Amino acid sequence: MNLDQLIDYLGNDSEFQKNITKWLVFDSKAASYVDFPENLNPKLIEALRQKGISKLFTHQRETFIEVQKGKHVVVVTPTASGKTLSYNLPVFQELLTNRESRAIYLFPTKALSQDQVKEAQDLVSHLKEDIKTFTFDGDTPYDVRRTIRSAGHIVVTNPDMLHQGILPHHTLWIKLFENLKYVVLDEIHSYRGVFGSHLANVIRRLKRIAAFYGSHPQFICSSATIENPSELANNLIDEEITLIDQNGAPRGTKHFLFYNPPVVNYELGLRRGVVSEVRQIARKIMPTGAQMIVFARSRLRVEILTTYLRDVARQLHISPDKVRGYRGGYLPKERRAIEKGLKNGSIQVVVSTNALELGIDIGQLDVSIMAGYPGSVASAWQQSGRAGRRQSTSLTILVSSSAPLDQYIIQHPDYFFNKNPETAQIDRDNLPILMSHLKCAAFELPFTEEEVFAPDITPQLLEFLVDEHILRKTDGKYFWMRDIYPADEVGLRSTAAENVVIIDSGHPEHRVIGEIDLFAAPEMVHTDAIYIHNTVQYHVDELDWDEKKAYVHEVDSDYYTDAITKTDLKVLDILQETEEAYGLRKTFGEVAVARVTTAYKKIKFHTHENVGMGRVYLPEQEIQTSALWWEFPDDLFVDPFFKESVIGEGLKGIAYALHHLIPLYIMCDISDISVIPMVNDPFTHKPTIYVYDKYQGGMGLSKKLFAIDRAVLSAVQTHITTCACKEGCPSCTGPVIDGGLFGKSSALKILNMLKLEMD
Amino acid sequence: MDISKKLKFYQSTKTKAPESAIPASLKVLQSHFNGEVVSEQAPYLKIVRAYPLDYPPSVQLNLLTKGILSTSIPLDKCLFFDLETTGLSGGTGTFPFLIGIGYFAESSFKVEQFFLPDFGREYYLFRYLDEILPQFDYLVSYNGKSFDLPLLKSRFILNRVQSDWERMMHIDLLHISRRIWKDSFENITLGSIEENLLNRQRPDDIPGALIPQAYFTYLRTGVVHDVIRIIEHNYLDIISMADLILILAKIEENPAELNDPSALIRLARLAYEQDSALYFDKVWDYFEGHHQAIPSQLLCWRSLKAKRENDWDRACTLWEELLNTQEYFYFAIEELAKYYEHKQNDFLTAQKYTQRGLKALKLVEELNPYHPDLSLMNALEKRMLRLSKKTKNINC
Repeated sequence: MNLDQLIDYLGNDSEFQKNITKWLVFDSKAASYVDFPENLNPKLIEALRQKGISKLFTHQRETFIEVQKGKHVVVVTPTASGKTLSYNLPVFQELLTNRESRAIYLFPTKALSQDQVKEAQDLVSHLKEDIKTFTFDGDTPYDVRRTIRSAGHIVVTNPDMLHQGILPHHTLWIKLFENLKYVVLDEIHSYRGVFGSHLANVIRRLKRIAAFYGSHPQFICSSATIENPSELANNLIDEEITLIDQNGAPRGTKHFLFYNPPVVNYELGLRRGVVSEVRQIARKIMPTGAQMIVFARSRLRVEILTTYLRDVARQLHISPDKVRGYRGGYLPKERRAIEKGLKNGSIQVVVSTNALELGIDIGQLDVSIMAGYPGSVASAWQQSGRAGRRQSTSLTILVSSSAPLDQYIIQHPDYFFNKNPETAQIDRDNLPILMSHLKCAAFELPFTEEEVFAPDITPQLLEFLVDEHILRKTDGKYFWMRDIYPADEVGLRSTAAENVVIIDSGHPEHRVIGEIDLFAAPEMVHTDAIYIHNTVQYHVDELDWDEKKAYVHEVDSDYYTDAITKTDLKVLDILQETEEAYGLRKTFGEVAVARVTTAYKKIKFHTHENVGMGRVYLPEQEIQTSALWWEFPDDLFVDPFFKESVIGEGLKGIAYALHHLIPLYIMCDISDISVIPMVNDPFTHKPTIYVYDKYQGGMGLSKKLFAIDRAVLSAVQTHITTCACKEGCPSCTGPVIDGGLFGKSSALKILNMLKLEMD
Repeated sequence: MDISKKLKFYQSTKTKAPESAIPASLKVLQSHFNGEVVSEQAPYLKIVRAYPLDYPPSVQLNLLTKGILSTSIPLDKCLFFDLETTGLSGGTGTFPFLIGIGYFAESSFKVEQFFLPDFGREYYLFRYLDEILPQFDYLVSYNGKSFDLPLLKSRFILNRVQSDWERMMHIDLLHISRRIWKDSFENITLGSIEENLLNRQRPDDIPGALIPQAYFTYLRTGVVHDVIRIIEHNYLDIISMADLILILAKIEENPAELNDPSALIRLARLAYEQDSALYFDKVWDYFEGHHQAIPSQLLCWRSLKAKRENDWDRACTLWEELLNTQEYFYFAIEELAKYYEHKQNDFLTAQKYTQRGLKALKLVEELNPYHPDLSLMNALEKRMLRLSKKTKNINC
């Protein structure tokens, strides 16, 4: 059975069809080829011909031309569309004419950079020119670093290394910075939130150092399909951007199936588990011999699914060795072997985390199955892009879980047909982040009085650091005055400067099983809490607050704990407010959120009986961040239906759904934001819902929400309306047990009165 | 903007340059050290002292540098230097606020120290250093290869002063000292060298780790007490380097200068590695001359030397002697077995030694089964196997 026959077969399988909510077919698209640009170096043309490339895709040529004009560009392309060549062409053109020139390639992960080095080196081998491409990361041996610094034409690295290893030692990289022509930023959609905000500041530092040595590099960015690629690129590099989003790569017919597992518990709105559904689907596909990638959302899931699918293989008399797992934590050698096995066909099924989502070369497979919505449309497209050899048919199956966002997506597949609504947000002027990079920058080069690092506030920040004796101002310049190395104190990826590590003391080696940000720790891992990690229960023996460590051991308990946390939200400043229709007032401002966990309840599984209580003694924590809030006018609630408790349940229901749907519009993890409903808010004296960024100083998320709130609220309304449950379920307004009996009806009534339908 | 406007602008900025008056704290330091405040635009303190020291015109450090400096080193071509900085971790933000240099001239050792009373004062100093640099062919430092020199180069780049550092040979006295005294002192700092070799104490010395903070305190308060200590610290570091290089030259000439068996053994090893028979014998003679029991380590190097010289009788005698030691028992077993197998074709004797080694090793394993030396065991067993094949062949 080939893939087309399999598709027919699935189409006729009524058992399977029952669960398919939508079967989208994207027609094949022929490639849009163009000739090489006239001025492309003949050596490059010859090398490309040797590689079997005699024409370019339209976007490759356009990128080349725009870069030649001196423009900063962002190329938006799906996976496997010859993106690498898009930026290699202008870079190699420059290196062939001017061998002194230099370029930096920046990739979000180490694994990706290795692949790109191979690709560039392959091009060099065809060119037969002395152009050196080196990876510079934590694994680079010390004895070759010197060579890379002076002789590497293309330095391939990651943001962390640039931040800690290169910029603070720029005098060692004088050759690079004096001749820096191009900076390639690949996969910029992954630079969002905290990571992106840090990177934007690292770029500020990079540009500053380059300017010191007299160079002004041009940026070539690439991104997956998101709503705001230019805006994101502009935020990252602070330059005017030329957008290239007309893709010329060919595509075969793509079948995109939305699979919703059957409901098993109507009352709770629970559906059959994703893992067992995927097993059933794989069983249908594996006998066809189609090569298949299964994306799971956690490392643990990868292991479970791999085990299951190996059993399936055995039952089908397929060698279980043809089924492999792939995730971070595997040894590089092992991973290379799996990538190779996928390319040469010796591996039929790979179960992976999103580690294989980004450009690692594994060739193209036939079928991509997502065990649960990967959290963003952009990711879903990238995962789906792993299936589909050019020109031939491919199949993608998205199997959704019961989570609200999964359920929303499965009922609104149009997001895949039409424009992706997701925006990637960063806040490069987030004060704590900005401040830490200002310090790094001052260490790298003294600031002058006129210099602008971040617009408007640079002088104030520098003066603050002078007052703190971190900088010294003398003769109109600001000098670093500490005996530490500031880049060591700043990690680009951590959401908080500090976190609590969770240590399994039952394990002989006291294994670290996870970490949790400081703000959430008191709730999740207070002493005597039951902490659930990857479905395993742990009892927290001690939370050592001073050392930031939680010691746990595995238990099999019949209760879970629910922390009682007092959240105190104070409005500090109102920055923007508008009156919406029907008296709904929305405000954007700064808030202080203080949280203290004082006690916890022990709640029995299944029966939800309260079987005990305990005290927690932990210090209060405060963050100052940005927030958006809506005040609901009193006249909305004249209907006697709206008893105060009912209003509360309704707001809670809206908050629950809203919280889960925000990531559809603003790319983030749901743990990056907090949504708090208040029946009688002490500040507004009205029923109010607050949404704040769970990050010191804010991350631009609630700010964006302020701009697009009607679209999001309207999605919330549609979602709750179309959900099949009666009184609310985990997929819409939250479980009845938490949300109360009126959660759904009250939420809907409130939303309906807001007249949200825009178009 | 046209050229004339540009020039006018530059002129106007020039006249604006602050005529910074010399701060009181700097004047205090100046009179304390009888120094000189240099450069009006960006004043810094220059202190010149002469340290009386007799020195030969040139020194040899061929063996001690493992042949890297094979020619004789004219001492007046050596520039000694040492920095005091605002941090120990390196990176471009670390500022050398005190730069000390020293050189042999006019039958003494001259020390020039430059104290920068604030940030951004190094430009004119660097220009001065850049001017005198061509007079010298060697840089001499203590741990300067990994710390002081990269830092100084980095600061030169930041101030856009281009100097040709690559032209100069760099003698890092730490590396040489470590080679000699690694087994003698707990740590090979200049301080321990002073104590053990120069018999010099530093009663009021400021610990290196406190230096950055002391400078920051000076910047904020103008209190000079600790700065005086830092300048003294730096001065002592530099003159100790001068003393040290003369001591090293004497050791290079004659190891017996050292009355330190651990250091002598390390020298013997160096002589063996560098194939300097003459020097090796000098170490040997020292031990014999002092009627000391010869350390087994030295016997081991001596046996290897004999082996290299094909002096097999001597080597065998030494190995037999080493069989009585604990540390070199297996070494001697292997060497003897090799000798009888390959040089004498006496497989039976070779077998006898190998057997003896295996027996001992198995006994050790029985006593302490947790840490068997598997590679040694393997090597011996392999040899045993090969030898028994060879003996069989002969019997056939």
